[in-house]
Amino acid sequence: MESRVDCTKSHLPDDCLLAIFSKLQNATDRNAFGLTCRRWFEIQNLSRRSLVFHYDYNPKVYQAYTQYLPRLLARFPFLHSMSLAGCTELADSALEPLRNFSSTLRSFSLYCCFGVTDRGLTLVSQSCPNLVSVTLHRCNITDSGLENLAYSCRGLKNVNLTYCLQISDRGIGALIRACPVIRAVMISYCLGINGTGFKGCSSNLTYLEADSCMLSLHGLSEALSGGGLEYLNVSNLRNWVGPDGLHVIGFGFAARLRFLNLRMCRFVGDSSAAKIAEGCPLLEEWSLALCHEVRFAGWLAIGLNCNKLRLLDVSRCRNLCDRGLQALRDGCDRLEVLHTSGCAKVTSTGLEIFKIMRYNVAIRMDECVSFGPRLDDLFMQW
Amino acid sequence: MATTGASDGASAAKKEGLVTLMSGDGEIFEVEAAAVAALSVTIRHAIEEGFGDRPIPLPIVGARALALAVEYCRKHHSLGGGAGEDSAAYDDELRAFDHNLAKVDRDTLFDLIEAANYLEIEGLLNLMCRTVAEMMKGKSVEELRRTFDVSNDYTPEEEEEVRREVSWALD
Repeated sequence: MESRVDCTKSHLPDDCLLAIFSKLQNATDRNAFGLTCRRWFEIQNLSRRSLVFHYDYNPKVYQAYTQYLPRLLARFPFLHSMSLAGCTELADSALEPLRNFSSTLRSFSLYCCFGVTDRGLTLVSQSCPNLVSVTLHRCNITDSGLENLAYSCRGLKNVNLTYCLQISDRGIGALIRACPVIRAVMISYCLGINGTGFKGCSSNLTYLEADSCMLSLHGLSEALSGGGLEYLNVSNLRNWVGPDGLHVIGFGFAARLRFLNLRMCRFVGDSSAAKIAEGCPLLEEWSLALCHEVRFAGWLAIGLNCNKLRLLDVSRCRNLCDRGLQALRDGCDRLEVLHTSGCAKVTSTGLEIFKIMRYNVAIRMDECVSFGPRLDDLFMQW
Repeated sequence: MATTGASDGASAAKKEGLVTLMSGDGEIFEVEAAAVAALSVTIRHAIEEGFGDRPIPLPIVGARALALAVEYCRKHHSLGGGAGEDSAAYDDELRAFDHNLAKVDRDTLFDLIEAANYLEIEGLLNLMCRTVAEMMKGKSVEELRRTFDVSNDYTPEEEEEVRREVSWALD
């Protein structure tokens, strides 16, 4: 206590120093502040909201992180976000110190922590009941770990399970039942999920990222059944659902859909495309890249119905010809960007006419790489 | 804060629209209630709790800081209606006023921060904290200690350790 009185002549109370500290814009200034004296260091620690460990190729560095973790947790009592992303060798036991930490954590990332299993996840779940966002990309977890997470952290909104190959619909079901406010679910490359676990999902479910998944028709219907989806990515759907299969997206439950990625769903046919165009009036961005089965009737329906569409990707669609392009040109009033790389049947004349008639639409000769909102950003909000 | 006591409506009426404030060092200020109540949450609450025409005691605010804070409230109330910096009412005149107000010495700056914090005048607190942060910007640890009169109470070993730890944990 002695030092707290002596170190500054102008003795400001803590809340004033915290207010000053909050105005420091960069890490160098904040660190210099903390190094000035012990009390200012304390202010820096109290202000700390996020803890991110550097990536490092040297595994020994991670051992040092593990060693320091208990001290860092004690030092920063008001953390909101913590990331151990890239700590590939981190073992479950390294998460043990979380137990003794009264947790204010809202966001936790174990991205590429290959060594973390159900035990580690359960430790995190029980120690941090206020979690809102969790990233478990490539963690070595199963349905049991996910169930523990879901039932411990009822306020979960965002979960990234991409490449968690052992997760099945049982785990997803727990998430849907236990966490009523769940908003974003990322299950890309989770081959054990067919989607039936989404049964009973609420309208809070807004974002579903399911690239290269095995969703069945029934599973997809369950995922849509809440009626709240605005973002759906089922690109490279590995389960053949037939030319009319994706009809289901146009059946009314997806009426709020704004972003739809069907890239490499090669089986999608005219009737599905038409049904979606009619049933999803709010669509703003739509990728049909490599959807070879969409033909003139499909393009016509899109042109007629998609009045809110701003971005359309038709790259490498074998069955888009000049007539199809004209159908798009005559409709899609709000179109701003059209990706048309590798459309073999579109002639240069057809494309030039499009450019003249719709001079304010940007024609891109590449595939769309950033589609819809960045879901990773959701995981940083709390 | 000592805030209880019944209001005396009859005597309050004589000086309609005025409120009396007493600084920590006993100086009395008579100011327009509307201006200070619009910007200071603490004073607004005190008025609502009914001080009547008795002075509202502000024990930790010195006379000089209180005078400046009152001046800030008056100016912002009359020109901007108390609206924040993001609003359209925050015009060049207010900006210039704020700029001049922030040109005080370090000790006054700290007194004003403490006053704004106590009186809950958000705009003033932000303005002064930003000014201090601006003074801190780009300074080395030694320069910070000199500028703000802070004595180093770290042992060399401790300081070394803190330096090492900040080098790898990012925020």
